[in-house]
Amino acid sequence: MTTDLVRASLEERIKDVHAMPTVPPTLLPLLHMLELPADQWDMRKIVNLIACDPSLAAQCLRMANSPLFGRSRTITTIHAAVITIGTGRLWDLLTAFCLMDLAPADQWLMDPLAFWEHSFGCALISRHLAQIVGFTQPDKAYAGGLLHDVGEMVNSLLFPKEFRAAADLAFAEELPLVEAEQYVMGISHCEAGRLLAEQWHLPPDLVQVIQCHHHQVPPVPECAALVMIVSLADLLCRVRGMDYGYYEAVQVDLVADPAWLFLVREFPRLQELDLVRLSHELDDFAVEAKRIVASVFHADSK
Amino acid sequence: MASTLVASPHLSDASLDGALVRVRDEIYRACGLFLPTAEWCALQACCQRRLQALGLDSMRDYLARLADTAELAHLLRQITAGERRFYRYSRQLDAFRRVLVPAFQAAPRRDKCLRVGNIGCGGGEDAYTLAMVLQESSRDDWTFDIHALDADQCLLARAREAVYPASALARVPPHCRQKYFSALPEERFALGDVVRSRVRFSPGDLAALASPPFEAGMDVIVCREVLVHFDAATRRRALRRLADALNAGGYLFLAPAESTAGAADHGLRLIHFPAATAYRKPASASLPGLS
Repeated sequence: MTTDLVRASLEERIKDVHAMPTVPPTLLPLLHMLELPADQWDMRKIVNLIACDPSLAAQCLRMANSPLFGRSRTITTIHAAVITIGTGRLWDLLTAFCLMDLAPADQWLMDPLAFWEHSFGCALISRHLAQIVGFTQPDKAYAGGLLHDVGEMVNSLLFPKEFRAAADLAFAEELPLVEAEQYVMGISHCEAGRLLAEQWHLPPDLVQVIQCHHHQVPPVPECAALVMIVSLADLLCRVRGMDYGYYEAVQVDLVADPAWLFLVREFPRLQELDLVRLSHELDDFAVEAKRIVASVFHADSK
Repeated sequence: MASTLVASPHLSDASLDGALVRVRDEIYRACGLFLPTAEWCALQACCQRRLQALGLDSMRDYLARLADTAELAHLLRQITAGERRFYRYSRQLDAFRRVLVPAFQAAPRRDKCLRVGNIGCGGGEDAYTLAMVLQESSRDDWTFDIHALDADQCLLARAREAVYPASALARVPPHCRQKYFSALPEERFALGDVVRSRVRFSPGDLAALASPPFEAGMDVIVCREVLVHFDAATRRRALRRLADALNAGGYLFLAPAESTAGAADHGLRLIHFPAATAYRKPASASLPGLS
């Protein structure tokens, strides 16, 4: 079957909305929270939001009682759990909990741990870059980094056979996954992700991140800065050990990358950035991403 | 990421991270060596030894001493005094073997010979590792040439002799160990002629050279734990010399923690590979700095 035929058949199947994973009920309210800075969040609303989702509530309590927070007394209420976790980490963890059980682990074609480590790594680095350049919504950048590759999940669940072939090709030839997808399936996780994001009614700027982070489609100007921050963070992840768990034979000249060139024009202070130092510092984010994923997944596997 | 540094008699835990950050930053400023958080235990141990040797009580006193280049040199010798082994820095070797070698072999070139230089080759472990890697990825229509330099004649003699303790072979892939080494008495191993004959060794001191260290243009130069021991002016000069010795489009590998920070006028560009970095001479040498 030629790629065109595959593509046509995939596009047909992707329209079958019932096959798509449904949006986790708390995701949109969580993304909505980002419209306000953390010190203006309404804690009562957040506690109610968590209380409406039994699985989320259980995870919050478990996390607040985990050694990570070192409390001597057992925490039994959601309110106390929220206070213990603290606003600094609350959003990150809630979003992690609500995304983690999106797709059953046995239906993944990729290593879900590697996928989430890459996603959280990209989220952390996106926020870091946003802070470095002075982008006004660093938490939005975090959300973009976290969700940028949801299209992989769509491909994994909806087109297991074709996606397996693309992944096998990427592994064997050490190619970027997006290239292997294009070659085998004719569509990439960017397009699949866009369809999912639209169906989930994600905010338009996040839809743009998901669709445009590999520069195959230029983003609309209003969203370009956010898209390019996540795009650069994705690239940095792939060259600092937060990859998909296989060797991608790439060499990257960061300062010649379209995302870098865009961001330098937009935020001239990036020119001053010490890239050597940044690269080494990113290794700490890799450790952090692994820790988040381990702490969240640990409970799920029991 | 909380540091799990061991409590020490000289330092209170609270001031420890802050003091180490300052030592790390001072080292980076002075010679471009950036020690990752993962190596802080080692850094702390090195500082402790220096504190004891100098009879100092606090990191604050030591930080003041570090302004003295002789003391910095002492500390750097401790930090970089890692054991020499084959196949060290595996991610750099991956970049070499899985990204660069195929790219060079795919390039349309008349001479079909990959030229590799190794500076500060010591006992030859790095140079022979490169030879084994290239031997394993050899193609009939491509050949390679490795030229290794060191300032120390004793080390060069040892490199030519090519007999190593078992510990140096710990990371050699089993099939290569079988193919290229033969066991000697007392847990020692001799590298066979197949690999030995592929590396030329010569005396050479990068700090003292007035001209490029190699007679022909190199595609890849590996120069680890050499530049950090130079003062700023020598380091800058040496880097330019290394850049001169590279072909357009050639690559320079330093040790993973090393960088050219503070000596950036060499025209080389930082290139990232999966979990590894190198510096590349622009393919079009007339336009350095432009992408």
